[in-house]
Amino acid sequence: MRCRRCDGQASVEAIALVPLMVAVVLLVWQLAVLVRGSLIAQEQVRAMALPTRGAGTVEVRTSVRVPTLLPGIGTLRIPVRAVVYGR
Amino acid sequence: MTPRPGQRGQALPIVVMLGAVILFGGIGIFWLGRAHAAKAQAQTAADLTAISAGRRLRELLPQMVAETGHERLDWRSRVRATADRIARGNGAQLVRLTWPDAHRWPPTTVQVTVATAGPAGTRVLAGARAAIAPGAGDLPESVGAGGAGQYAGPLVYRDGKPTCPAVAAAFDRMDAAAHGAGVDLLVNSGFRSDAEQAVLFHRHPDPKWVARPGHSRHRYATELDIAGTSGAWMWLADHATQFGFVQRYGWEPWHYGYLPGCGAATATPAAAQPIAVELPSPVSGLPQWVPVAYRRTVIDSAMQGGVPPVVLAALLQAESGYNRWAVSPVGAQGIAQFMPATAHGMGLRDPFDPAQAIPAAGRLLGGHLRTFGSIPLALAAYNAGPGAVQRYGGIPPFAETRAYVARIMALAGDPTMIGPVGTGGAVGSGVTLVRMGDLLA
Repeated sequence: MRCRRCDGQASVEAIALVPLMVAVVLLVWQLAVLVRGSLIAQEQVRAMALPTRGAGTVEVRTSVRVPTLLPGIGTLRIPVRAVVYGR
Repeated sequence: MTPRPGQRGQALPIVVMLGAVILFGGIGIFWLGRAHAAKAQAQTAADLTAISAGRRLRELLPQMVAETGHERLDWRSRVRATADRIARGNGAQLVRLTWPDAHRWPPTTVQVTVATAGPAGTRVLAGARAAIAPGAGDLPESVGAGGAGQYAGPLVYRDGKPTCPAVAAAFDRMDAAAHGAGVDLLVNSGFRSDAEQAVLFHRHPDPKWVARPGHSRHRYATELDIAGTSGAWMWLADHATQFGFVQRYGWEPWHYGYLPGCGAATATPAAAQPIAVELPSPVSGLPQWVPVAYRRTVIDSAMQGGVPPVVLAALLQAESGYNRWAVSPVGAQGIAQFMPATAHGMGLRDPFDPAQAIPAAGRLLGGHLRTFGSIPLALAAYNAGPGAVQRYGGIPPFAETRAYVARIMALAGDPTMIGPVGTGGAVGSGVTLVRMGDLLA
């Protein structure tokens, strides 16, 4: 016996879940971007701090802007700082 | 295809499961990434701590080598305090600070281990090692020069070389006195304008050997490069100060500067008092750690070999600590640590005899100095062999050799010779990060 009401049921469910899937993918992507941004920021501050000249302890600050993929987050920046003996 | 009744809602669990896999997989990757980031942060903290400790060590070196009892300076605590402060500033904790080459004096390498907080309460450890970089070749003449304008007054000539009248008059008096002692002095170089220096630098664009325009003391017309008959440098070292001349750099026995300057009176009567300059004689001027018994031998050997006495003195200190009976684990012997084959090649009958070994060391170092034209390279050749220096076109990248050169430069007493100060780049301030494998190998 053919279930007529069931025709296309799986497709409807799949389509209905697309927004959820997109949200999950965006969330994962955002996390990955954050990790990558923090690595870049770390590398940047290291490159800035190592050749630093100056008297005594010197603080170096920088921040890396990361793209926001989730709605409503606004601008994301990862601030980093490093301290080095400058001479 | 016809779905059966049991197929209703079939896509829901599949899609939800897929989403869960992506979500939890992503979160897992995120935690791995965080761990990776924590490791990077720890390594940055370790690198900055090590380079800071190295810079502090480099800063303290001149005082360290000047001290007769070097422990008095408490340099270890000072370097550790700096490292501790920097580690904390970078969100890490200094776990360990060690001196890989502490068995040699002075140390040139410092190694640190730091810990940072990782994800999920873990603790991330990272280590780094920094070493004082041997002088890549700041031209000695560039030390302290520059800034003021070059000499623009009248010029007179001695041995065909220009200088200012006051310097020429002082040189005449000194030359007469030297002549009376059986020594002839010859001026090889005097005043050089910035333009002439630019030509020189253009011909030899190597700041290791030629100062950049505007950075040579010769632009002030107070400097003379003096050669002469045998014993000229020795005579100058003993008497030049009586005429107002001082040896500017310990490693250039030919370079003398006239302290009163070009503005001094030129018509000095013959009976004029010698200019009092509070400089030690070369023998007493050697560092305090040079044993008195060897001072004259070191001076004579250095002069004969054409090397700065202080450098030869530092070499012997680094090689054996003036222990005439020293034998290294690889078989180097005596105060100058000659390998038996080298000693044999140099005609050295007894490498344990300082009276033979020190002059031989002076000759060998002098030969390398003439071959390579720079003290760091000559020292590197003494340590690693001239073949290695030629092969690498500079100081070989051997950790031992680089530490050896840096150590002797530090002992020689001029921190500017240790390495370029504040030259930036990846190293900066004459201190460089060393790959851990370099020294462990």
